[in-house]
Amino acid sequence: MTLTNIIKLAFSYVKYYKKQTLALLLGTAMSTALMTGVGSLMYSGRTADLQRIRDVYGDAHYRFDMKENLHSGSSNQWRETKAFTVEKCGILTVKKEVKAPYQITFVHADAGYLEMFRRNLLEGSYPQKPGEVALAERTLRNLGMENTLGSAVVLDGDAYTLCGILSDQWDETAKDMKAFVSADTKLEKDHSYLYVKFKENGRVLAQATAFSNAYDFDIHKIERVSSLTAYVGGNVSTSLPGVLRTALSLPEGRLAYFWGTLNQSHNLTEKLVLAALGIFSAFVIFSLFQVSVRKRASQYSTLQTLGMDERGAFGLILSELYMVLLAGYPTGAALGSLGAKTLYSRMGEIFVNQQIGSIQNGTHTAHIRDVAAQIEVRPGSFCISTGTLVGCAVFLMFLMLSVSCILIYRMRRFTLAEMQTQNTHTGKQNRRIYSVKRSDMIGILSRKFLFERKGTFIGIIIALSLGQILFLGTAYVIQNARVHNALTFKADDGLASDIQVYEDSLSLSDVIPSNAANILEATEGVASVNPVRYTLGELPLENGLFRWPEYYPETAGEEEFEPDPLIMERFHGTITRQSEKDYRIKTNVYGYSDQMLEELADYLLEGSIEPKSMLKKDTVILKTLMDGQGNYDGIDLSPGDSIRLKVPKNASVPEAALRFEGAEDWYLEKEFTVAAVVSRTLGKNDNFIGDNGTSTVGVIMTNQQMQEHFGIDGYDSIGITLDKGADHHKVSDKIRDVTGEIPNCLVKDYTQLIEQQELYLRQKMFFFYGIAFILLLISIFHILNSMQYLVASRKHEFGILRAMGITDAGFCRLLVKEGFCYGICSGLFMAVLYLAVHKVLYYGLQHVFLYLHANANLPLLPLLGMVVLNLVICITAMLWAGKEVLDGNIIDEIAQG
Amino acid sequence: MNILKVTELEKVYGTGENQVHALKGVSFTVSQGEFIAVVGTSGSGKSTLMNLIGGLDTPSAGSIRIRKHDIASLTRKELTIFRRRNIGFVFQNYSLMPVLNVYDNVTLPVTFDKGRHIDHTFIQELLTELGLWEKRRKYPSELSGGQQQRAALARALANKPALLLADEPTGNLDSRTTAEVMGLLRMSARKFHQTILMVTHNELIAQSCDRIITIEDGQIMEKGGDDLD
Repeated sequence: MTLTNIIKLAFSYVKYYKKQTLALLLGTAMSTALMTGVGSLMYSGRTADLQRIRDVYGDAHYRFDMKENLHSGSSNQWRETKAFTVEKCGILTVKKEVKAPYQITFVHADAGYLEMFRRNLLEGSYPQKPGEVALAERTLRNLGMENTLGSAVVLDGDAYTLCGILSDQWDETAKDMKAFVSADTKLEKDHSYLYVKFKENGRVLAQATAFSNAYDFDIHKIERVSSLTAYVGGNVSTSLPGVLRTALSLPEGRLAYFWGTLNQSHNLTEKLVLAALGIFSAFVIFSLFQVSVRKRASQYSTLQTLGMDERGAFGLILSELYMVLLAGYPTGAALGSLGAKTLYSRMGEIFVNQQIGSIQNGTHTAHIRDVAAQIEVRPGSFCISTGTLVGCAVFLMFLMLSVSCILIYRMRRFTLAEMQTQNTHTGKQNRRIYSVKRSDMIGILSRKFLFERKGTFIGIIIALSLGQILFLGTAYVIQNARVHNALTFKADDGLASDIQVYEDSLSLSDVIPSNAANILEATEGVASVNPVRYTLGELPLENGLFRWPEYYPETAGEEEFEPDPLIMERFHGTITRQSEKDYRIKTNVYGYSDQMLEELADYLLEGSIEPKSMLKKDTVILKTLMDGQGNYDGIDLSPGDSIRLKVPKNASVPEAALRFEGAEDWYLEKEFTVAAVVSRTLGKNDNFIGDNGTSTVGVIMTNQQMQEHFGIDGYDSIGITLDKGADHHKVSDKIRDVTGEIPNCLVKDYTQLIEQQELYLRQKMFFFYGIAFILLLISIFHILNSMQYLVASRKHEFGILRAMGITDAGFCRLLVKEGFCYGICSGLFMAVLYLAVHKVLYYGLQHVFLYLHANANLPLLPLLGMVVLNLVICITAMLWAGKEVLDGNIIDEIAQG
Repeated sequence: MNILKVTELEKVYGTGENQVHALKGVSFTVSQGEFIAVVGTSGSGKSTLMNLIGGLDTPSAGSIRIRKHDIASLTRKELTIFRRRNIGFVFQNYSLMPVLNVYDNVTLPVTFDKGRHIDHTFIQELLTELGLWEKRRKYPSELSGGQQQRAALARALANKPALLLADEPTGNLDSRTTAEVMGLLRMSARKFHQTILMVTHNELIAQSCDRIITIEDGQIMEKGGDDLD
């Protein structure tokens, strides 16, 4: 049979079996739409992430160590070759590095560098001659200098004139503060680094390698500048066996490491989502098509009897599938892209990583509230992911090729005669006579029909369950994401209240007077105020209570894992080792209002939080450490254990007291019992040792305990919640009137930011529930089709039963029983499979995505709901398909044998 | 005693130009215990007649009375119940349930009547008479054509119906098996005092029956037996 004839015949089949073709077309189009739509949404999000990274960190890819005298001069001398294209470059010359008391690097930067790193000149001019310096706003603040141009600044003992103020640097790896000086300033060093941005149309790593070879740079000294490089092919290829080996060698968190590494280098989560959709689509398409082919088994047999070889049959099946693909794929891709574009234009922000720029070290820590205020989250324009489009097409082509192979392989198991008579039953027969002991032969018949073809039965059960497992899994992740987002929103992002009044000061003596809180509470439009008292403390962790020495750079003793110099200078590090098993750790000490303490229960790891009991029994709450895999066992303290807390005696002690090295009479020591251990704090202070939610320890008590034990009367911050519908601008102004006279007291209105974040969250929920719902719809469509096939394929048998006198009610009972069995079997299968999926998801949420309080419990109600839905759908689908039989002519049905 | 009375039976398929008059004014009666052959060429209307008598199709005009019940007056449910209690079918293609073994296939119609107990002694007698007792655990696909038709016959007799309708029961069988099946049909008619109406296009087979009704172009050409009128 020639190829033309095969294609003609396939086309005839496509035209003749309209219903089956339509079902397959719909299945293919919906699967394509889902995969390409989701792929493009994620791709658009990633593209927006890339832009945000550029905005935050600049757009340089690599830093090259320049050899002195070899590459001096202009930064525009680098030529373009076939192997690399330099788009931008800039030179930073390090003139001097000061380690203490602050880490300051004296540098000269050319215009290219300043442009790439967004170091814009806000005021004045760039240093032109020796003795002039330009500093960033934050540097001036950290060094306690005034930001007046022309003022004298002393850096490392030398006096400079402040000639310019630059914008701050948002660099997640920067630990130093840069002092910009003129090119001809002569200091200790003159070491230059070249920062290069390559053309991003190919892997930048390959370009960087070619560039270093061309200009004789030491390849081992090339450094990635920021996470931008990873987005544009700057990662060293991760070897899967290597990652696996390392993961297996870890005592805990093997999967977390494996997943985390691959996710970073290969967008594993995104690929897994697409793979899950792909598997689901594969089952649906296979199931739909095998129905079509089974119906025509006798025709394939006839064709083969007439001389068509197996290759011809394969070509026929494949041609038919590819014809459907030819129509279904573009339709699906267009639908998916259109839907995704509409969705992205309305809620594109939810696909952008809003954490970019919020992770900083030590005192550079900036929270999302500040970053979000500075760099707006812009979804950018919608981009169609050509990668997903091509990948999806290739996947579907391969899938259809595999489906054809499987079906031909299955046909091979039967003789032509068996196919002709559609007698394709294999396996051992059960010789039991049922009617001797049972009078309900309808039940027997329904069971026999059900298990007549075990392969088909299992296939249908898997396909039925897959959609629902995806739905349940998505719903579980969404529910936990909602809780996690709400919790991090309040704790990590610091957005627990609409307006925050806080002391932006490095001194413990700067506090908000306690009567200010009372005035604020009485302000019109204010619903509640939550004042927070603060002091810095030190906690001894002796006899092995501290289990993670490798956690802090101060105790890890690893090269290139250096403590924050500012923390070292001001506080003598976050932790100090006293002996082999004894440590002293700096801790934030907070006094909370009762309402805040109760809210803290959401972050509870152990014990219980009862404000009245805390006051009565003099107990405190410990905020413990979290590692990179979501473990909280770094400190061996549990409810009931005692802690000895050391804090400065009062605010008038010298600043050196914050190093906890001074005379004993500078401090107070109190012993408390731990009532509870929590994972996060709520109202927090970022000005001392920082409070990033993970690597700082906190001791929380009631405000009254803070006053009674440590004599702290004033507040460090006050969280204010507004009345519903209150005008936040007006209330903010009123609050400013109250706090205006308080030194270093700032008022920040987060109302809009909170509304925006809540909107993003709602949109996220809507999107994910939407996807889950579409999956469920495809699943239902597939169930309907499968059931219709099942019933249609037994029309002959049903005709006989009707001729023999089964009533319509009896026939419906038979179908209901079969539908019920399908519903129960798929429900059970789904429940068992979901149990495993749930465990993996729970582990992933807890240890990979570091969710706060991921819910370990099985979502029993949704699971039960799915089983019931399964039952209803299967029974309804069976009855619906059965209606066609009942409406048909008995003689015609019998004749179908 | 007359079991069946067919009066002025008409069946028209299609409308307008496509209208086909499959049966025209067919009338005859059948007495209890008679073994009648309905013969005719292909497309003459003999199968249509059988389907109408079996209640598998509805007549355009005329009446069919079985045991004094006018089957046209029965509701869909009543007709179904009437059919399973009074009529047994034997089809040319055997039409056994492939998922059930011989024994369960035979007892299946009995189980449709709720509360009715299967007469296992009768089923055993039936299967023994038809030479299928040893094969009772076999599935249809494991039987020869003749054996399958014997199983279909046993199933049709299991409910002790008033009338057994056999549509070309030997159409798919070789001559030896045909003779065997015909012998069994005759034996059943005799032993169980069963009325049998058998469609065949084989004149030779028809000769072995008590009476022959010949149909040509939807009309009865010759008939035997007494009318009820």
